[in-house]
Amino acid sequence: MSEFKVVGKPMPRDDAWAKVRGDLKYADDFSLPGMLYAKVLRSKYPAAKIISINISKAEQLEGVRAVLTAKDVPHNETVTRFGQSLEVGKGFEGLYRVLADKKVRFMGEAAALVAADTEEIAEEALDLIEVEYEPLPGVFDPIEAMKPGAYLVGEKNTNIIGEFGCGQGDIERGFAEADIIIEDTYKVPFVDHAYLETEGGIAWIDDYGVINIRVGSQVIEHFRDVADVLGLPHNKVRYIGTMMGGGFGGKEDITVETYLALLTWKTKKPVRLVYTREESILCHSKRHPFVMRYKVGARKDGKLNALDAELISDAGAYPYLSPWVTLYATVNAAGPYCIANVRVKSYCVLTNNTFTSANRGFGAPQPNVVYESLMDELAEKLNIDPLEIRRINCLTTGKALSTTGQIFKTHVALPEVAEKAWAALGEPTEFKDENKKIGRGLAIGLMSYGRMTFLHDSSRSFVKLESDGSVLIRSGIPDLGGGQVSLLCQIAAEELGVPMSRIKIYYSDTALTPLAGTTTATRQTYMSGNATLKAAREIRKRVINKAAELLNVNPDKLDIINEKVIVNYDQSQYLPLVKVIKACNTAGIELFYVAQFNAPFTITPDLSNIRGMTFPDFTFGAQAVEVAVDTETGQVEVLKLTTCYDVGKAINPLSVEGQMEGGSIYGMGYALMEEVIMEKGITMTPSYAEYIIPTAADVPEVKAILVESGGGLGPYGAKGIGEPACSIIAPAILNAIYDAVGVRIKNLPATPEKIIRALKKDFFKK
Amino acid sequence: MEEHRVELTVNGERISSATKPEESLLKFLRRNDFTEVKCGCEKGECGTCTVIINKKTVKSCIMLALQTNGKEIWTAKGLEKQELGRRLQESFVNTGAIQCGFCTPGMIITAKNYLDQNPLPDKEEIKKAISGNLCRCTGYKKIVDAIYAVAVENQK
Amino acid sequence: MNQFKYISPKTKDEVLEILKEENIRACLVAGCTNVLPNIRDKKIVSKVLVNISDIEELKGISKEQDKICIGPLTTIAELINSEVILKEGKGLHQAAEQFADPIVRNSATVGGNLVDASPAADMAVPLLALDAILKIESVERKRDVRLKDFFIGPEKTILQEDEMITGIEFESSNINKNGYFIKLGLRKAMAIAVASIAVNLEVRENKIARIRIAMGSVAPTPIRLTVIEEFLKNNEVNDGLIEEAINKVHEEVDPISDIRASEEYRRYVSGILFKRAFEKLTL
Repeated sequence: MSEFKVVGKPMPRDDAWAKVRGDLKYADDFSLPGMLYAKVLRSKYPAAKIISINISKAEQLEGVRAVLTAKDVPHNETVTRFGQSLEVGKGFEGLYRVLADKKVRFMGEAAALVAADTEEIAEEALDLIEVEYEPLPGVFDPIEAMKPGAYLVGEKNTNIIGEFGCGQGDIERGFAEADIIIEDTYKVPFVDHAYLETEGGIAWIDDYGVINIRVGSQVIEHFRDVADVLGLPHNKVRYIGTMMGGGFGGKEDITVETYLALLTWKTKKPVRLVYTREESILCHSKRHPFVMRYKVGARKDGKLNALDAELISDAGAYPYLSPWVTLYATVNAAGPYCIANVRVKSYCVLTNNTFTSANRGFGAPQPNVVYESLMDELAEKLNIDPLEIRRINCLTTGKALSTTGQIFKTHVALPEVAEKAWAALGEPTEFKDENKKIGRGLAIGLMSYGRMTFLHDSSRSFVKLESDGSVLIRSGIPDLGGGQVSLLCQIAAEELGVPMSRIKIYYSDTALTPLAGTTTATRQTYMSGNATLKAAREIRKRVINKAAELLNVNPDKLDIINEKVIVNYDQSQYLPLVKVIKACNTAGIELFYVAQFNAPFTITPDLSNIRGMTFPDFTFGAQAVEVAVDTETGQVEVLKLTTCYDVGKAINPLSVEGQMEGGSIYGMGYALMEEVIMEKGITMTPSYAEYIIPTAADVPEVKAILVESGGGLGPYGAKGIGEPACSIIAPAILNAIYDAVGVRIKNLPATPEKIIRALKKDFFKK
Repeated sequence: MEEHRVELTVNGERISSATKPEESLLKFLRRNDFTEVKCGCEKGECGTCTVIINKKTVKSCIMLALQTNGKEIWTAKGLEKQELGRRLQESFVNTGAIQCGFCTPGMIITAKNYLDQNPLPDKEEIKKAISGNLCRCTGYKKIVDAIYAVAVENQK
Repeated sequence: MNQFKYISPKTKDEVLEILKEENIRACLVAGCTNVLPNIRDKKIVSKVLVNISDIEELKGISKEQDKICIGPLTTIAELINSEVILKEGKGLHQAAEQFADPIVRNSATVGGNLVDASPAADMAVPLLALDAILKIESVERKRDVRLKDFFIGPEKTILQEDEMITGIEFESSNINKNGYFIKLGLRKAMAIAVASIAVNLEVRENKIARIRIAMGSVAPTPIRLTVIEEFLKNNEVNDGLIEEAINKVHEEVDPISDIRASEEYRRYVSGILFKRAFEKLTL
């Protein structure tokens, strides 16, 4: 096959026109006759006993159709599952509780559900539910929560729900041999996904008693968990996944679905539940705060020889994906560096804060903030250029990850991406403002794509060539805006030689589309891309074989281009695709195929000493920034930003650039302005007025540089980019701030106040 | 309870529908099937609900439905009726300015109204013009590029 | 049960009559940029919503002899587009340009921002430095109140239940033409001020003849820093003066700590904002 027809070309997405016209119906844009409106009663305290709940007044309000509490839920407690095909054990499947029962663990925890004829009546009913609480002291700091005698958040006798360790070599000897040692503690806060579309959906019971839930979800496999809660067979609950207005990991857990299912099951009517922004900020998952204590040792020549890290993550009130995130952080803790002596120990601890779970990067961004800041610190102390010290220490193809020993058989694009990102900053900006100092910073990093290999991940895709040459794809793939769905169309278009406009895809329906696995872990290009590739190639093979027969040529001399099966050395010899299809149909040759693609399968590692392969592969990237810091107000303006990743193969360059550009700003917000401030478990940043994300006026000039090594495990050598894209920018900004004004921020976000407190210590006596 | 009605024109068509005194224009529009006008925060802080009223952009979540009596409103769905609207749609699609698409209806309305009044902006001006419309996916770059491409076309 | 009513009067006098009759039950609505979120948060319940947004006589910007008159329904966008405001009240013009975001500026009104009386009110700060006067009317009486005396606490003003602002005026004068406004926010749009300042200055023979300094977000209300104004009057403009003034600024402001900034940072940065505004006007 010669050059690509659609792969590698900037293509408009399959869903773009529906979105720009306003035709696409998101989760809240759909309604059914007789639909009821649901509201959730949420705990007023972060930690309290529930002495009693009296729903009688609420039930009697005119227009109220159901009021449910924990006792009405058939199985109020199950375990959290995320579509993995096996029982992982070892604490990865934590408690999932539908409604608070005798105790509440966080402010905003759901305690009761209401369904009523209108939203106003439902809200009024909430006010009529009488809950008697007995406030409890609670615990809000994970380090406090680890201490013996600490307030116990859950029902076990410890708040620690995960402990992980990994490393290699001899850490004590490593430090003994170091010429320089740096020790530091860094902290990162709770942040919110802040997707513009909040959680929500509608559920109804169809003619055959199946509960249908139309919802924005990254994990439609939760249909099984919802069925378990209701005590129904799995085939009696159906998820119809909508295109999401953003996911970023926040729609990975069950959000509204169990509530919808319960209410529709109770009332037998369609029920709608959509969170307000305040509700979303209050009660959906947050990114894990981490306290990270690092000690690194290096030789005079810049070679790292020891790294000792202790990571403590705040799991919030319930486990959800906390053990998983903490494992990611553990494996990522030494970054993309060759270090002979490494020890990492991490803890994942319950508190009475809002529960934490998946957020884009999933535990990789947090340690990256530390190790990339420390690299710059070392560079300065050793008088080595920041780019050079990374060159000296970075991984290369064939080397092994310093934490787990996983060997990089695929391409490692270091130091290439660092050199390119740095060079692309170009000439320094000239600034005539005497109050502003310019600084530049670099950071590199790695992040996995594909799920943890001990989860035994797989994906399936169904591709069909219709008799008129149009193509149908069915895939369970959820799309959160990253172009997941469109990607599969592009692959099928490439393999089957038809334009994108000839492809129709049905997606994200547990009843009607083969399950493609979760849209998480930057896995869809890799997994569902490969499954679709496999299916499309099988059909292509059948078409080509038939055409070869009809044209009397060797099959390897044929190609399908623009709906023609062409002899590649003589383009005048061809058959229209439809003719070949007809011939296949007549001969009884099926032109549909459902393919499964499996990731490598490993066994669950010894969590105290994680060794070997834990992820299929990693994506390597680098980001560089130029900032201007106002030396009197502490405000930081990012002037330029470059982002360079080895994406393996950019199947749709527009999509890949979009992920890199968007990821940079997602990370810029993390670095400079985002924090869900919680004081003793109470959210102090309840709306978009207090929880601020970058606006268009805040963004710098962004340059995305794609490196395409072809060295990925995805289709055409692609790697994943979605999460890696936001995982490296924060320390680049911190390093740039240091370069500008000599202040090292160790506690995100790097607000103007923090910078000024460091610059003007004499003014701030406290 | 008093009966209130709103009579207005949306995307060139006359609409007449009942409402309540405190109902926002956003809720009114969505109840009347203009679901392209999105609800992101209901506080005027995100811009997904932006519409054009008598040639001015307005965040419909912070305007009362009844205040629009007799007025002319345009939503993202109406853009295809106008040439600049169509050109913007095409540019957004081809430039990759749409990821999850949730900010798109509000964003493109803001862009359309802005270009109507400022046909030849530079990129910095465009960034300021859309600073009331949040986007969490794109980092704004391709959105600005898409709008700028139309402005460049305007020059020819 | 939360019951609202809605009326849309056509003239100012009709509005005043309604205010007289409904008194505390009435809630005037114009841009609605603060009213609707308050209705959602249940801070405004069961009111008579009086739509004044179409009343022409409450709109408009004009220069009459020696004063500038702004109708309370003037939108922030209209301030930006006004040649008169650009020339006669530059600080106000700058504040308008940094207000919220371009869309909200189309709806938000000067009167609405003043009546909302946030300690951060972006219109109050420059208008205080312009020594604006509010025309306040009820059916019973008309009165002029200096903006300086209007705010009495966070979200509290001296406006009675049956009164409304019918005009905002400031002098056409050298001091008012020579103004500067700075807002410090945590991002570049849709930002609530961490601290803000407006300075209006008249210098004669290198001495400060007249000065007005107003600040937002550093006290329970937008304030004039009258102690420093007094201190600076008649003094020669030099670096030593500025240094001393900065220290006095630190003492005169009365900020709190909240999620956006601590009291110390606000105190510190007030000095910086003063220095910068002052330098812009004296260079």
